[in-house]
Amino acid sequence: MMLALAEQVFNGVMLGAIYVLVALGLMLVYGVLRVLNFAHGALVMLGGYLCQFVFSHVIASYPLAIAGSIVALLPVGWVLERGVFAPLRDDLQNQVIASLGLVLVIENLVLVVWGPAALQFRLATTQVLVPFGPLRFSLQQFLVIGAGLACVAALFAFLNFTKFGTAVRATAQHPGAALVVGIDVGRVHAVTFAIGTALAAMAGSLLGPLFLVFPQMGDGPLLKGLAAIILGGLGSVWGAVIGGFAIGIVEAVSTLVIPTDYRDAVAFIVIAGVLLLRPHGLFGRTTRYEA
Amino acid sequence: MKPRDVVVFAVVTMGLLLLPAFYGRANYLLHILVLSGLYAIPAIGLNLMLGYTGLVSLGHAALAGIGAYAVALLTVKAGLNFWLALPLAAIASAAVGAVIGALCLRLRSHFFMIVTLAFGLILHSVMNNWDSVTGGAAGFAGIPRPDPIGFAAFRSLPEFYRLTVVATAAVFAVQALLVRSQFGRVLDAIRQDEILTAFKGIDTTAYKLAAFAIGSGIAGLGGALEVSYLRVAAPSSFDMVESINLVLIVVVGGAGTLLGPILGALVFVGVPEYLRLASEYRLVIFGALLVAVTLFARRGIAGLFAPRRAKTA
Amino acid sequence: MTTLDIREVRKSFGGLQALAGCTFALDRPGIYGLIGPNGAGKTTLFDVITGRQRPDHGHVLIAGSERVLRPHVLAGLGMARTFQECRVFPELTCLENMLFATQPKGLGRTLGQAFGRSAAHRRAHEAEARHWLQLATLERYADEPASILSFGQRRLLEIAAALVTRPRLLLLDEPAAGVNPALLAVLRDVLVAQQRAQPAVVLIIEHNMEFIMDISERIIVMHQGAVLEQGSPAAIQASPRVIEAYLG
Repeated sequence: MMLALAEQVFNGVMLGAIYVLVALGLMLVYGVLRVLNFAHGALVMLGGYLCQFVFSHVIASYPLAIAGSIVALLPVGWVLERGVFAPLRDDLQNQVIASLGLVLVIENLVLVVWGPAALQFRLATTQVLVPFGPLRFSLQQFLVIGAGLACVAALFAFLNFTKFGTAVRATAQHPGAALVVGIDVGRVHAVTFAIGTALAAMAGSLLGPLFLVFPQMGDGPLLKGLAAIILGGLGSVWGAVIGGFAIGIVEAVSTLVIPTDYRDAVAFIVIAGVLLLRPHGLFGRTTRYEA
Repeated sequence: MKPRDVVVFAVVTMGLLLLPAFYGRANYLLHILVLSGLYAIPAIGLNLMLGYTGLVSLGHAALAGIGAYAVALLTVKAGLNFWLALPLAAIASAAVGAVIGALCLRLRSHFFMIVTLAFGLILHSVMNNWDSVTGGAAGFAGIPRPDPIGFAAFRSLPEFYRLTVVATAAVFAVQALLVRSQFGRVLDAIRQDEILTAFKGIDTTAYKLAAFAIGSGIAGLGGALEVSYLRVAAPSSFDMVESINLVLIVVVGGAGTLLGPILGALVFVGVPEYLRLASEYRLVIFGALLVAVTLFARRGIAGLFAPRRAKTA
Repeated sequence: MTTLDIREVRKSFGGLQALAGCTFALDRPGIYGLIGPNGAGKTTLFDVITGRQRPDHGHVLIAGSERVLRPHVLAGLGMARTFQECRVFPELTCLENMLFATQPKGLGRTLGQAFGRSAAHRRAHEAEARHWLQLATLERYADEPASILSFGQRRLLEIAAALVTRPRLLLLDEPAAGVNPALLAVLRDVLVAQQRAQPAVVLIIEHNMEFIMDISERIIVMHQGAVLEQGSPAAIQASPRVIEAYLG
């Protein structure tokens, strides 16, 4: 029993690493651009497809395929930011509706190009098993956790120790003041969205080898990512990290007690539950004007 | 309500009812119109919430599903007459909508959208997995057509078509009456500035809840009719994609306009059938259309014909 | 609603203490000014009085009874307020903005009416609404959407819309901000006319000293979340403590 629990906790940490990446992408874009991008899951999915494509048709190197996926996804993100989200900056309702439209476009374009069948993404690292105490996990699972933590560390370093990162944080806190201080807010927006896109590509590339590549593969991670940032508070980086791992672990462990069919519902119930008890998220703060 | 509007409404409805007489065996056209009507009804419910009150609910299809499964269970498992099951199904969805609304409405707009999405997914998950009650992923078959009234048996397409016309017209009329009243004006005020509306003496939570419940009840009505037409209830008709489709229909048709949901449904169902598009292509185009509407044509198709926002007086 | 009693009210947001034991009483109708440096807690006090925020500590008594009611209930009892950021319904015409608060508000009533016959309520109040619009020099915009008005005109509309409901307790948050001198004179006349017609407790947050000193019978000075001093406009203007609070 304890062994099963430990195994699921590890699985949960691995899933959590992916959810953290998704959550960070969502949260950065929301925090800096004030854009709630429901199409983020579709970007994750597209990242997975691009990685698989590069791996099978260009070069059979996983790190290079990931890099290729990021490079290929960045222009897509740029088009979305400039073409759709920038014009809708202060209009939350229409942003969300537009992002839903983008979900339809991206998911169905993928259906048109690649077809509905799920694609295999076979990596050597998913076959290699590494012993961990009495349990054994695939190398890929360790890689996912490692990659996730590395990205979090890199993002943290960027935001806190570089000049541009400070500009990003300033813009997130107060766009008006950032402008006044001489920050090129347009550039900050573009770079932030690019980072969000890169994180999405990363998440998709890590997810693909684990669970197949298929058009709806981004839907679950999107919702888990949303759940994570709601748990952690819409503006908090650490909240997203804690929230992501928490959701992953709760989801994995819950499969021990409830039928696996309902595992996705766990995250949704978490979202609903947290928000109903604490309408500002666990770490969100009350502001003077609650609109 | 101008007398002219009532006359136009009556004439159009009459014309639609008489359509099968003129077109005889035009079954394909009738089928398209039935499907459009079955999308238009829940869309009208969503329009009341989203278009008029500003509540962006992303789980609306699931509420249609409540009505659908309610009618399925009541007619098949409990043997109830369809005409009794139908209002009960609408009440069931209205009740579920009221509960979800009561829980969600105090949340800020971002969270509201996310939680409605989450509830839609939870409900869909239940429909998909609660095999003993809902039949699981395979769905629930054997749902009857409405019981005969007089000489109308509703087994044939023209008769069910007429039922759909009457139902859509009735829901449209309800929408119009609500919107063009003080109730509608209050909803509109809430959409424009909720805090200001509260300070003017309006219990905004009660009004939003009413809009949510009524919109959900209407969705349930649509869902119930749909499964009676198709004779089967399947969870795939009520998943997240369908919820997004409903948002699309309302917004592209024209959110906050009376005709918007109907135009949106006609375009959504009719155009791809007419062009014989596979569903993936249809959704790419509609997705792009949705983005285009939010960027360039906020009032959708209906807005193209009515340049100024119609006064709710 | 013609008395307002604030006792030891405290309110914090996270680490920021906006109100730190605020106490004063307005025991009869009149126009009162609430001034103080930025961050003194004035708007937070309004939010607490109007039910938008709950005080952490202390009491707010309106007409002698402690009210912990939500904004719409207080509005129904005769309270009206305007906002620092100036809120009107942008898509409604000026006349519709004026009429909005005079219409039936209860959910049961409006739903019932939707399926019954349309009431003649709107016409009943229309003459009065137009009268106020005229006082506010906005009558020619009666059928134009409020969004076309200039900021100063929107201010006047906001205030006129609050006045048409004949409130007993009126809270104005920086009504003069961004309003040009000509319209300010109109605003002054409107407020004075309203007091003659329907005396109410009017509490005005202002930074425009000339405006507020001219119109108020008593000034309350807030500083760092509490009341620093109260008195007639002349006394306040001469007070060394007040001057220091603003300059210090």
